[in-house]
Amino acid sequence: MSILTVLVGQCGIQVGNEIWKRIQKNERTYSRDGYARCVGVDTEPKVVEKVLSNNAIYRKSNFVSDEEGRGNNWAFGYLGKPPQREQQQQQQRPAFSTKWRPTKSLIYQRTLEVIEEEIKRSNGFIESVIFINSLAGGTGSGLGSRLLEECKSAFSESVMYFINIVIGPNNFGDTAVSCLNSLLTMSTLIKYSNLIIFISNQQIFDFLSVKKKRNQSVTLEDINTFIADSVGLLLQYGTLPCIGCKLVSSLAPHGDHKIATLINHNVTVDDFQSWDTVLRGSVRTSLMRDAVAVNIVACCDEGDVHDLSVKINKIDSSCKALSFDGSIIPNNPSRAGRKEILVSMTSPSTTLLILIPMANQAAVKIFVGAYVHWYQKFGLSIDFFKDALQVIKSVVITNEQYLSKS
Amino acid sequence: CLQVGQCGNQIGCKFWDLALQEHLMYRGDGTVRKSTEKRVHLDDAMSSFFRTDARNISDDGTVSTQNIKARAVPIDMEEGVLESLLQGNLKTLFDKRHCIAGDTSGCGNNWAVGHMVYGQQCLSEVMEKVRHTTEDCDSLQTFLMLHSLGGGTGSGFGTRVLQELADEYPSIYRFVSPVFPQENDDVVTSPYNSVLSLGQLIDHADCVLPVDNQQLADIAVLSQSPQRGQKDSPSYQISQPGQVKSSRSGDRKGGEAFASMNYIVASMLTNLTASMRFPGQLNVDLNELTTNLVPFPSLKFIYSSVAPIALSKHGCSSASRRVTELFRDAFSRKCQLLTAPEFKPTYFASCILLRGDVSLSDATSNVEKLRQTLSLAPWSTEGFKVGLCSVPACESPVSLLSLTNNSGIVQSLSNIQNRFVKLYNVQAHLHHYTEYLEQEEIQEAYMKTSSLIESYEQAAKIKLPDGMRHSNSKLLF
Repeated sequence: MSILTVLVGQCGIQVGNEIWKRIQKNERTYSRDGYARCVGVDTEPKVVEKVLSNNAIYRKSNFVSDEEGRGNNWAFGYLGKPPQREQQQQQQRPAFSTKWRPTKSLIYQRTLEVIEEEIKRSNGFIESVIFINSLAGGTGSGLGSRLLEECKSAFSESVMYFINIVIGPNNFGDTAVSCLNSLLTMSTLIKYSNLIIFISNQQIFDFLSVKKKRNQSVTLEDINTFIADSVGLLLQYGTLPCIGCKLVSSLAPHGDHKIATLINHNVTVDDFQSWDTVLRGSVRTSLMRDAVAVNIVACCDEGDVHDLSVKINKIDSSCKALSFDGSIIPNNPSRAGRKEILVSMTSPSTTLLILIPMANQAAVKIFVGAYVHWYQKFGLSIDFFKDALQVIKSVVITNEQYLSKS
Repeated sequence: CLQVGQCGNQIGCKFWDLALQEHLMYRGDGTVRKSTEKRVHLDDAMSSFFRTDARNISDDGTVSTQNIKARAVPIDMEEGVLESLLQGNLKTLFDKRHCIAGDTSGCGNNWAVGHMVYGQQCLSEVMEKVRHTTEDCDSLQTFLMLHSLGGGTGSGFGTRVLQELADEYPSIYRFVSPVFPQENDDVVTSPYNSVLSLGQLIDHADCVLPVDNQQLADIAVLSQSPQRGQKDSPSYQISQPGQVKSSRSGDRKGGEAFASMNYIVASMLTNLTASMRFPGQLNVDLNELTTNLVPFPSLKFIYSSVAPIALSKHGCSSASRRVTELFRDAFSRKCQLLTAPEFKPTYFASCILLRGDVSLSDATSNVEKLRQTLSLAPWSTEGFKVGLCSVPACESPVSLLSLTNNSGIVQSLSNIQNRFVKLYNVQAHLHHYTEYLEQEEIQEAYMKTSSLIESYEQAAKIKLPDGMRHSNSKLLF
């Protein structure tokens, strides 16, 4: 059954593009006419143009763009241009000038049309739609949230699962409004998404900084490559018939427990570590102690498959997760010696660690009234913010209760 | 870009010159151009600032550099400045049809004449020209206005135009870069002009980036290279504004000093817009800047500073050290384009725009240091927006523009107010103004500035109740 990825915003498109380099070509991931089952949308043209020119796997009509960004403003991304502004920009072009163009429908509408086309190409049914976007910006977060909501209402008959891969900001990329954008996005995703896979730029940045040698510095490409390696492995490179089903059942056992995080441990061929060492390093039992759901994907040589699956089963029996899934992908002979293991888990402690600081920072701003005028300008009221805070609060309470019981 | 008055136009010239140099040096995708290219593609990057008539585009899509026009509307009420603009070395850059010159008498350094008299006479002509320029734009995002506050045309007529832009194009952002007058400005009426203008800016601008001549002069001295900008210009040369005849006494310093001061403002403006024109790892456009820098609607006055101010003479140490120096300079008092306050200000929001080959790690570590040294508002401790543009500025491989919204602006505004009060209390020169406007209007402008100062002071004092100290483990609401 087919999957469809929807890449929203600069971050979503850049990361999604890296991920697609690792996805195998088969009928689940590519249409019959050879194009990837992928839709991209951004509110500025630069990123879309670059990706389309560098990569021939994408169907050009699947990528939608607009002319100006969303100014890091979730409300702008979610609600779109106020009719006044659209009119203004239209007015700049008198009807007789060569620059006149018919009024475009709103960008989320155009994206929905493109998604509908993709659904038709998959014989009217898609197993999972996977959104990829950032949390802190304007387009990825705001427009991404809007698209999830709209897709869910328009296509719930044709799509089984809606999965979101979100990328949280790093500490310096934390702009003043990023916590507000993150709050509004996470509350929408909690309401409408089946599974949220949370990736933190800061964590990856720190992890890679340690690994790099002294003079080298960590670039955005490094971070994106790392994310792509991890997500590619999580999606098992598109080889599984029902990846959405596997991910949702293994990582989202309950509405309040559906935020998963990833730990990727990759050992190079020269580094002769045994699987025992790798497992000890990657599968930190303290983290596993309160995991509600666990999904492990490992890559190893053919000869190690049996032993490794025994070891993974042992982990299964020792942890108290409600759901556990382990898969092993045998290495191609060309990648012999490679040992890689990706541990994804949904746990109350990580959920709290993600939601509480973000909600607190946002709450402070809402309390003081800072920056909210930018959102109100686009029609978002303070009540909307307060509702979002309540959504987060209820998830936090459930998770705190779970922790105190176990 | 609307450049109003002598000051506005001189800065504008420098800005356009520098912008064109940048685009002639680098293509839209960041690759370097050969300096002998006489014909260029007007790519997307360039066309945000420049345009050309369709007939000038040859079959291969290129356009002669002579036919490139700036998206600008130069305005002045005296002929002198615009004349030299249209006859100087940049003459092909400005479209004569878009220039507005009022009659030859100028405004006599009287805001009221500029705002009321010329406001009535010339406004429709100006708006017509503006309309023409905007029709050419695919997707108009912002107006940029350059003017000074102390004179008559830039301040009076400029603010009238600003008001009209706000009425006619309410959803297009209006960025204004005014020049605040100096303490010892020889124009006696400059405090009146400034306060009246400020009242307008508070109402009609979306974001204000003030600069002052005193600081610019100091920086120019520090940079010790008055001939800057003349190297490496392929087909354009910097015009010499020293030839302009003017009654302004500021010219005593000589055209060269003004040239380098204007250059500094020009480089601030080009760095501001670099991310919109060139590619980079982290793009920041003006929309995002405004959203992140303006926490409350009235707090829209932004400090700017540019580093490096002088090319380092002792050849560059490691790249990281260079970046650290940039940060250190940009946040030192001497590099600010507006006089920094005597007291330690509270920072509400900051934006750091880096150009050139700067790594994420260097940027991160320096921002961390800043977080600790600056006095940040408690409700905005994480407020740092960073932009990385990979195409460097013309004259240095890495550069930094910092834009901060902090409470220090209170000092500059209070200074202007104090000078205003000194004159107003004795009603000096007031009759020049009351000929055209009521005293209440003058007082109203003063009150607006006072309440802005108060807003800033209040924002700086906001303290979070104890229950709201940040916590990573417990919800605060």
